[in-house]
Amino acid sequence: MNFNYYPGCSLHGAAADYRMSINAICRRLKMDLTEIEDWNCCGATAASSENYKMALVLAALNLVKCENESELVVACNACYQRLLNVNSKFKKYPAIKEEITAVLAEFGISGDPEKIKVRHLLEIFLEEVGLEKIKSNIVKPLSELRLIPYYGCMLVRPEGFDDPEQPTALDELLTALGAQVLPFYRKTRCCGNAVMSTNEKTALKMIKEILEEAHFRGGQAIVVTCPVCQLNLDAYQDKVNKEFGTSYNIPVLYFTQAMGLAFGIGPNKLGFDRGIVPREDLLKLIPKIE
Amino acid sequence: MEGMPVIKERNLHPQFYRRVKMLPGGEKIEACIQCGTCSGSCPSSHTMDYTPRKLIAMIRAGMEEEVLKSKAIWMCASCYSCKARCPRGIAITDLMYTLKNIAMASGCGHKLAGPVFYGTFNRMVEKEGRINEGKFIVTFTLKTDPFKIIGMAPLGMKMLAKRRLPLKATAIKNKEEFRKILARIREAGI
Amino acid sequence: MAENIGVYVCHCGSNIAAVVDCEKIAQAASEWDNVVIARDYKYMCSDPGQNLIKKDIEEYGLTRVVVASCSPRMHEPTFRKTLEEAGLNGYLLEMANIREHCSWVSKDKEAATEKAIALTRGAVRRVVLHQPIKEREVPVNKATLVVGGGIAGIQAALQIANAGYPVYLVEKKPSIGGHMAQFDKTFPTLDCAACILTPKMVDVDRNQNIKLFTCSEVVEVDGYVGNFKVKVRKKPRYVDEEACTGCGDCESACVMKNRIPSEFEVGLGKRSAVYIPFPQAVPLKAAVDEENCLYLKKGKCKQSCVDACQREAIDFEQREEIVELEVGAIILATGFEIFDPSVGPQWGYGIYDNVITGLQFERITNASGPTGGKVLLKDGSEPKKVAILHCIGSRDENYNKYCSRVCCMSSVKFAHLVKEKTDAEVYEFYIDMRTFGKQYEEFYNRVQEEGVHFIRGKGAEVTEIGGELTVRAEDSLLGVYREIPVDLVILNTALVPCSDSEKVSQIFGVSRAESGFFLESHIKLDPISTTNQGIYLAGCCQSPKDIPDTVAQGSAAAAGALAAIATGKVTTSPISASVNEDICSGCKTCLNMCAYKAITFDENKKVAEINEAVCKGCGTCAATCPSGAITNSHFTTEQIFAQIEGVCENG
Repeated sequence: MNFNYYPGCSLHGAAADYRMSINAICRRLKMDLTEIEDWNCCGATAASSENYKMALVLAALNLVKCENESELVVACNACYQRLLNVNSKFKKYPAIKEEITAVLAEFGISGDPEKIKVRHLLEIFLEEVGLEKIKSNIVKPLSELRLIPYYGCMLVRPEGFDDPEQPTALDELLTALGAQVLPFYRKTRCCGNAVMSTNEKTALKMIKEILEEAHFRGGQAIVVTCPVCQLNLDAYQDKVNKEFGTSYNIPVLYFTQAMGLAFGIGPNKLGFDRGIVPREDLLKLIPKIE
Repeated sequence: MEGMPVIKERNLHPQFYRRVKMLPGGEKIEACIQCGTCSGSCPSSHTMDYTPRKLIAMIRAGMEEEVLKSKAIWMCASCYSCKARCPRGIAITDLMYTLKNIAMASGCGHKLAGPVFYGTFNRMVEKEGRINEGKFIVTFTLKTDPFKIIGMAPLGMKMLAKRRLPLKATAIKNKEEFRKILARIREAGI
Repeated sequence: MAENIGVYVCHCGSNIAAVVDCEKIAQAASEWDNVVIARDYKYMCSDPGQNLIKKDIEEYGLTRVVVASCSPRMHEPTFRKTLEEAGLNGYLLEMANIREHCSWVSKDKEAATEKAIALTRGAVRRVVLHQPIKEREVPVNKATLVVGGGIAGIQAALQIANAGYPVYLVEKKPSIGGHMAQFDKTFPTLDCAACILTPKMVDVDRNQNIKLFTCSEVVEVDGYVGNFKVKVRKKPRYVDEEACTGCGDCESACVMKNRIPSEFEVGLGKRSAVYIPFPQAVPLKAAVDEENCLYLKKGKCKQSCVDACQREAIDFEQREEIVELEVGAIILATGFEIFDPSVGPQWGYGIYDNVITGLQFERITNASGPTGGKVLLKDGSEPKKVAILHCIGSRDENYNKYCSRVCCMSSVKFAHLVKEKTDAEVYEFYIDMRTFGKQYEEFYNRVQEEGVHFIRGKGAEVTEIGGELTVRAEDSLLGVYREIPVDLVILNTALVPCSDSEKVSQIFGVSRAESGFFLESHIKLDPISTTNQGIYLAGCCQSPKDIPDTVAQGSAAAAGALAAIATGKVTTSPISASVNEDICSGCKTCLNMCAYKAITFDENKKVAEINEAVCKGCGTCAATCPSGAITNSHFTTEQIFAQIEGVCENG
């Protein structure tokens, strides 16, 4: 299986462990993710905040690098939503589409972003690879792990492949890995990344709400699908504890790391040692291969 | 004695309402029933000077300056909870973006952390084509609150130790054309 | 063809005249072939307006009349009658709709006037080809079928029965009473629902003119106004109704006792597999629930119910039967269902224990309910803070656009009941307070004085913070975000159409509105009739409404049915399709197209046959017939083409 792939800036930065685990499991599943040529930043929330056309151009520039009628797989929720959104925005505002297409044409860039289907990596595992194939690769079922499925907001809102409030895709995947997936009501509540640098207190409260329920449910780890969520929940846990007098110590891992563990891939190859909240204790709960 | 606040009709700007209605997210704001589902669903509305619902009421009244100078629009974390739940189908998150666009274009509230943050991010994207998270945060902090750098050091060290803070800058190859395209689009305005 | 046509252009006050130049239409019309007189007038439907037409028919010897005015929906019968009074057949009239189709939807005066002229010209061309046709009179069967035994159906049934005519009342459940039987007190006067409903239920049981079918559903309706043939599926109760005394011994003996969630208690209480739905049930007879009875499901049970029943009323040999009824009119009173708030996880229903629906609260506060009328939490303690959320699933594009009409008042009532029974603080989260009925505002005022906190803002989210149930909302009068910790949340959910309403609409040949509720003939002037003549609507199956309005509509529907019964005859529209047997190829295409089952196939002649009495003249068959063998009277191909040509012609 071969896919066009958009990693996004974080995977080349703070989310090195996400990148490593994606590479490791794709190799195991015989999936080829081919990075699109010279991709650029999706614009995150910043471009839209200053100039919505700039945001659309940044996203469109990436999409036109794919062949028409092809698919583009995205690993980061924020990038995914930015790239996915172009389609519906162009449909809703044909005049804006025309304007942007004209500017791109001035530079000899053609191609119709609307002809590219943007998909999240999690969606690919569920819908293209399939749970059966994933199950057949499991050598160490995660049956001792009680996991919190945290989707974040940008995976499902404003658009996406699952329910906007209570999605189930990640629950299904983790269940297939043999894990005990805990009910988690705040699975799409925002982690607050967009306001972390400008209003830390607000962001910390948002993180706290997620950690609070994860703790209340008895989760041993939070599983995420997005580098932005990961960074916020993981790196700022300490600050949350200081701000609110709590003592949360919940490791935050990528769903691809959970898959890698179940596939029996060595934890270091999955970047497992790179958690700010140490993840190593979880490894004690993974069965040894006989 | 201070009385009830009075807004003089001559200080209101009906054309501001008309303008917002033409931009993304503004389409259906006339149908807002002021129920506050947006504010109640918003994870950051508790720190806003005006709630999202109130902002819509203010736009409809034509309170241009108050809206564009509000801190609230910079508190939106873009999680789209409000849009998902709005009983009138108003794209409130997109409306927030539109207000930020107008505010940044007109220089309103340029001293607030929000516009500086987004401006810094966008200038880096324009320059390099990609974002280096560490470099960006340092640049932004130096611009707004240099002393904060000290407080950030422990986390930065941890990130470094965990090999999650690459010092090598990442950038695209075709920078020249990329910059020209963005400049062209920004020329066109919003 | 030489006809003498009179053309009358109506100003409709300023409704038409403000946009359309009526005088210009009349002038233009006076130039057209066959038109002998063309006038414009302020209100054609008024007495003087009608007299104008009558006078002209006499003076000018008019043989055809065109009225250019509003939609024919309202005033076609008016003007037909005008023609009849002047001795002309009413079907020699044609109306051009220059209001809804023109002036109301246009701002451009010139273009609108041009369009109005074209529409009027089409009508003139068409009316030349009209044929006089006679309305039919059909005899009316004096019996009425009422479908649904809630308060709407009960009211309608009693009204007709008390007038001395027979009624068949068909109810799906084992008892009549509907939702109202589940309620506790009723607004605005707070009399208990059972106290005012039970006497009516008993009246139904006793009334010699009412034949009650419970555990029954209508499965087929044939025929037409005055002469419907109805098939009712009577499901087995597995209890001999004659023998059962309603003592409840079987219920206590059942091995499934207290194991099946009770529908009547909205899941808050448990019942047996053989059960009496509630203490005031009518008929007060036990019924066996097929789905849960071990004997019926698996064939294995010690049948302790049979042993317990001293009257030997339990009868597992009962089988379903189909009862055929003949009735003259049908009243649909099939009610509503409650919106399921678990589809919106933000409200926490099904996630948190102490989040309940309004209907569940009705049971909790009801003296015969699961807590004996005490307002208690799941753990048996009394709540100290209670939140009531309005508009859950109503006024919301994501669920139902409409306002459910009853929730503001029932929410205020809930607040009162909580205040009456506990020391709790009560918070109502509302968008707009709609207390519009008689004595409603006064009731709201009374509950305000009882100290209830009314917070203007919709309850956006119910969540648990640090183990505390919390409602998040904006207090929109203050413009601040609030998190209010409470012990109990009552979600006042929308009233939604019954899940089988589509099936019911097909069986009875009635239409549904966008909301899914059944569609009335005219939203204001005929809210009880449907597009299927002889079938009436009562209660919430038409739209959400409270008890006073439901009862009023029940009576109104009964009055509609009684009008035909009392005269013994109804006139039906003579517009119908007919088959030219010489052309019909016997392909049967039309048979499946007819929504009214008016077409049968004559196996001897090998041609389609149309029952004119059943035919509604919709024209579907005529349009479908591949050989053009079907003609729809008053809508012939020639008439329609003449009209199109008239509209399209220039000048």
